[in-house]
Amino acid sequence: MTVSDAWLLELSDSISIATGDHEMVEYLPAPICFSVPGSPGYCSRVLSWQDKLVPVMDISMLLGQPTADESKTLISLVAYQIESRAPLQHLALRVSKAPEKIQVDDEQACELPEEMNTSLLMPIFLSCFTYAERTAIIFDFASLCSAEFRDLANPAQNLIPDQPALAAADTN
Amino acid sequence: MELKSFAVMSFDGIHLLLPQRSVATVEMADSIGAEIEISGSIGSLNSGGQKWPVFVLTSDFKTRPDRPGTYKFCVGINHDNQEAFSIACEEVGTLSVENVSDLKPVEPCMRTSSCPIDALMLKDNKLMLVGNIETMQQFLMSGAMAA
Repeated sequence: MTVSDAWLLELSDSISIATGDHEMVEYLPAPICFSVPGSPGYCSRVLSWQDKLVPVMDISMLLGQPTADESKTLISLVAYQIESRAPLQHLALRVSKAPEKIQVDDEQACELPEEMNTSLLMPIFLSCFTYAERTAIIFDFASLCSAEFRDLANPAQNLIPDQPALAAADTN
Repeated sequence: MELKSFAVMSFDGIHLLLPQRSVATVEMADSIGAEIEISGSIGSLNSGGQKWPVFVLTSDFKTRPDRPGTYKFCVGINHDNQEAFSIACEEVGTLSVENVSDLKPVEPCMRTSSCPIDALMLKDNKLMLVGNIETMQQFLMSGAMAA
C-alpha cells in the first residue's frame, strides 16, 4: 500500500479536487484579482501574485455545477509543468474554504461518479479517490490550462489562433 | 532596453492599451458624425475624407448602442492601411513601457475571440489590457457582441 501526502481542495458543496503535496503553492484568503474582459466565464480574472498575473479558474462553473460563495473569493494557488524540466506555471483555483492536508492510499481509489463522467472532463481527468465520504478528483492542470482544452470548453467561440502573444503589440 | 509606447484608452473602469503608432487622431466625441452601416458602431469619425466607424465598449468588450456622456473622446486607429476604426473613451493618455517583461502574455486558457487582448500589465495597481490591433479590428468589424 502506497500512502501519499496530498491537499484536498473543496471547490463547492459538490466538488472537491486533490493536488499532490508538491503542487500546492499557497492559500490566499484575500487575493487581489482583476477582471479580464472577453475571457471565458470560468476563467475571467487574473490574480496578482509575486510579479505574476495568474489565471483564476472556477472549475465548478466550468463543470456547470453550483459555484462557491460569490461574495468572497478564496484562492488556492497551484503549480504545474507542461512537461518535465519546463518552467513552473501557476494556476489560481477558486475554492470554498482553506485546503486540507490529507494522506491518501491506493485503496481509496474509486470510479469517477457518473454525473461527472463527461466528454469535457475526460481530457483533464487523471484519477479520483474517496475521502470523508466525498469523491476527490485529480486533474491534469497542464491539460486544464491548454489551448486545446479551452477550445473544447468553449465550442461556441470562434477561437483565435494562438500566436506569440507580444509580437502584435510591437509598437516601435 | 526596448521602449514600447502605447495609447491608453480608459472607459467603464478598464484601461485599454493600443500601440501609439497606430493612433491616427484623437477627437472630441462631440464630433462623431452620422451612423454608418457597420454593426455595433454608433456613428462615424471623419478623417481625411473617410468615415471611420466609432465603437462604444463596455468593460466586458461588448458594444453599446449609445454613448454615455462620460465618453468624451474618440480615438481613431489606423494601422498598416487596414480598415480603420475608432473607439470612444472617457480618458485618453500615453504610457511608455521600458521593460517588455512587464507585459504578461494572456494565458491560452483565457484567450477567446471575444478577448482581443494579447497581454496584461499592472500599473499603479490597475490592470492594463494590451490590445492587438488586428484582432481588435476583426473583433469590432465582425460585429462584436452587443451589451
